[in-house]
Amino acid sequence: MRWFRFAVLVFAATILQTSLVGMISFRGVRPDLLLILLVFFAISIDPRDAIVASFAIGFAADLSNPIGDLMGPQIISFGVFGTLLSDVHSIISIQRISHQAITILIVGALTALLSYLLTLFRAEQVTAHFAQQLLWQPLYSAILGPFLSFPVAWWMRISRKGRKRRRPGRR
Amino acid sequence: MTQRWTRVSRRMLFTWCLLGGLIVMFAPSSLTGKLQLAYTYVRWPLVAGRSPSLAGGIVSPLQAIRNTGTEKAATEHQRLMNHISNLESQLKEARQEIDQLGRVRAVPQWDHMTFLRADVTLISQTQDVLFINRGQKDGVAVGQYVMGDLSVIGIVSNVWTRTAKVKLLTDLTSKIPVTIGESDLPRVMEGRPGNVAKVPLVSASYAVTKGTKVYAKKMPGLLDVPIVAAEVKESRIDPENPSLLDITVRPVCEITALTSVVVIMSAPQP
Repeated sequence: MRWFRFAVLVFAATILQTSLVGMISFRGVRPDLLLILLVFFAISIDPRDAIVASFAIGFAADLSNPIGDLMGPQIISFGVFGTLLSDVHSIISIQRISHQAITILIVGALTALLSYLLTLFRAEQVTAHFAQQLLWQPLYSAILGPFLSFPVAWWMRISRKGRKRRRPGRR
Repeated sequence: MTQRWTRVSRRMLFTWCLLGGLIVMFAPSSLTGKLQLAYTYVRWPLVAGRSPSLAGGIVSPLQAIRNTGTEKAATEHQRLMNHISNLESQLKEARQEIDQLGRVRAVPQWDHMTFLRADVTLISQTQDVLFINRGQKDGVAVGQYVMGDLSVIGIVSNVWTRTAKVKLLTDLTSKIPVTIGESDLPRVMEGRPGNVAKVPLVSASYAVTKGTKVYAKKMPGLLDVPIVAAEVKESRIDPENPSLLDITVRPVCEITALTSVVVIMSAPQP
């Protein structure tokens, strides 16, 4: 895992997320680049690295786009579902573009839901755009995500075939 | 280093990261806010030069922080505006008090008297008593004279902690020592129904005409100088006793229009 490249990529994604991504917003709905990166790394790198990468992306998400001025919910939700996705990918291959899109949609909805629930612990008011974050943003990300995985894979020098599934019985 | 890294189990790694996330989540917002602010400062030079149109619909963390600050400033601004409004109201009230007391002080003979301004809280429907918002704590006592529009309108009859009742000169039980016109003839003005009063026992030899002023008599300790209280509404020979005049007077002050009065602060009657 090339962590320096990873850091540059995540940082660039957070910058883009809060700036130029607004150009391609549709009725206020923007794709979540960090969600796309989360799914990409969860299914492309070593499970151990995927855990750190997932939490790191969640941290970047909380920095760049905090929910109700609160940090932490996205670190946890991204970390949990990134790790879970990495484990699932060890059993079920997620290589096809359509599968990746569906994965982004599901993981996006789940992370938004968990972030929302975690935010309720601390914040008195939760974002009013919950429906947008739960459905439309993951949907937009799912449409765009599989195509963005090509340049990301090139940057990270990761083979598009991704990591091999773990064989049953092998540690 | 790599060897040590790989020794950490995935479960432990996940636990550590999760713990880190929980710590960040439950950390004081002042600390996490600094993190967001630091990120904003790092990010700002990279996006500062972009076209404003690109920012459409985007709320950056800095902007969010600024918005939060703006909301706080707006709240503080509103609070201060309310405070200013209250002060303006108090200033207006103080000016009214100064104006009223200034008019009272404009009479040189009243210089050595002490006055207390009071607001009228209630006037009875029969216009024979009124209540003021001053009481024992303000030094108001039974027997003190009360003025309205620079004329005596009545005497304090009951006092409570923060309020007092003023018996007006038209009250049926009111008896105020007066003098009529320029004569020093002491008489007692008695209240009558219909917002009027009578001054009985005035000899028919006195020339009392309509419009003659009736003064509250000087009462040392209570009223140091005579003050106008009423004017003669009607003066005629008493049909029952032709040697006397039947004098009907009315207050020179429009009681119903009063919103504030002045209590003459003198020693209460024993």
